[in-house]
Amino acid sequence: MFLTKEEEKVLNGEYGIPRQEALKFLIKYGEALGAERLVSVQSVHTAMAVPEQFAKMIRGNYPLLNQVLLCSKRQIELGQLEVFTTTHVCNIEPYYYEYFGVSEEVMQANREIRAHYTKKGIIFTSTCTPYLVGNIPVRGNHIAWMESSAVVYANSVIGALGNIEGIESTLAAAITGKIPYAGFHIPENRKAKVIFHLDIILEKQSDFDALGYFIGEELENMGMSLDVPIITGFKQGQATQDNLKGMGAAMATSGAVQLYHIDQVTPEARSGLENIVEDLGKTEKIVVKMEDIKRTYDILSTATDPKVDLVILGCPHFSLNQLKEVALLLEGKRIRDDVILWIFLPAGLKELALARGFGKMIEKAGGMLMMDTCPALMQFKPENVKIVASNSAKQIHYFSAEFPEIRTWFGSVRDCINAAISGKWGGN
Amino acid sequence: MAKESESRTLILKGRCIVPGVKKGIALVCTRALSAAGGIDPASGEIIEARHPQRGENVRKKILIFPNGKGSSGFSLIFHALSLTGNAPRAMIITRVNSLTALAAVVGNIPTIGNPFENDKNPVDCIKTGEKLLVDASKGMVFKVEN
Repeated sequence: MFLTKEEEKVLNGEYGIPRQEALKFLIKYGEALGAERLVSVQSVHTAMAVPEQFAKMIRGNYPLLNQVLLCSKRQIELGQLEVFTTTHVCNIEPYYYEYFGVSEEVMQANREIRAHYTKKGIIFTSTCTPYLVGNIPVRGNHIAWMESSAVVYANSVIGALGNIEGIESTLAAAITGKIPYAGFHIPENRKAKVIFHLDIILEKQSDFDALGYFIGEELENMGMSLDVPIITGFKQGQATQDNLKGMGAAMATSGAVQLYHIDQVTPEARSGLENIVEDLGKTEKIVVKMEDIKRTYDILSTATDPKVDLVILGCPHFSLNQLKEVALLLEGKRIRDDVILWIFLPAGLKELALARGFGKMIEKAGGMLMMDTCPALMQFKPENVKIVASNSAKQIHYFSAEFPEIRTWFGSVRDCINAAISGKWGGN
Repeated sequence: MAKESESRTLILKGRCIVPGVKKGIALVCTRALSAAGGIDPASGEIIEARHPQRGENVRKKILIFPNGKGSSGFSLIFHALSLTGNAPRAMIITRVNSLTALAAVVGNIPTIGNPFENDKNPVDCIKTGEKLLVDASKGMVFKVEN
């Protein structure tokens, strides 16, 4: 791999052990990717909680944690990090941890790890949606982000450049400010290779989740799962943050999509199909029909009994606009005693929602606002919960993998809130 | 290393992702793999709903699959599989991306990926249960027969 003079100095240890070891790791990773060089990143989204699998081994020994994550032979005591670095969700809810069966000991370990890495310069947003709480790249920025839904959003909607990274590579990026120049960092790899034309009218936000889930799965079926799709026939006015947040998350769940374009809408697809599609004449075009969307709803709705036990919203983490929608739907209403409503959101938005009223409206109706985490990471399901409803294709996909015995209903936020109030899917 | 009675046939040549030489039994996944929410790190079992190889176990296998997909927890699951002795012995991946390259590196799993000679797809030319010798350092996959 080509290294700059500065990178060679880092590799020789002139800037200390952390940068040296992190760079060694990135070179190994870059070679695995076939990258010819590294690139500087302007934004990092990493994860910093002791993963359960390593918890016993680590026990507050952060230099050892860094060593394990960077696959190094040496313990690594970090200095202060320079790159803008936020964090992904962790497996602990800081207020409801006892409810989720997390011990005080594990919670304390988590508080300590945050205190430690905060002093190194990591900002604990603890969210899968960094772009909702301040880590918003500029178009053309190179990024090293975890979280498939966040990467697909940053790549597609914002026009930042990055691949889906893991905890190990993002820690190395936070330390060095570099990531291998490969995949979607390279402009030529960002061209679309398949067209999905919408011959339908989508309405609810969950329709866009269904569309994303369909596209991801269809690309898998076509053996094109790593290729970039472009959507045509998309209504400009429907390109909202919430629709695109859910759609991208679903695409990266059923498939491996890290970047998509929308003709005339997303930043790299505004100058005509011929400029963004690799070979327009030879490109396969799939016409998406209403039955594709309906079938996706059916795949994601495995329940037959309308009784709903648990409603999960906020995958990816809820936005302010979605919180407002739920608050207004719940105003003056009460969630049934035998139904649980979980809403997952970033800490910053929970604080804002509580300070400005929407949060209190939801909590007063019996909803639980939870931050920093995600059911898929907590691996927790309340006893007796058999049927789960969600507006998120991604949530249903992962929750069903973890708890194969549950059955699911997939629908809009309104459908989900109606179920939380009435206890029944489709009933009021 | 090899017993004299064994015969080897070179069946595939690709690019070295992570070097190393390993022998084992093939597990071919016909669809892309998720790791987080797709493989149980405590056992190596494939748990993704509707995955055709759900219920199979990657532990100590030669794992062959089209590509990685899903959550960015992918590498951490392979990291954990490796630390707990549940990792595959080697991997052969039709199309490598950031998820799978990172997983192979952190799990220190000898891995071969694209491009493959003659554009062969490992998922099509290897069958589950076949005995393989994977020389990832040279990018070569051999079928081993007694």
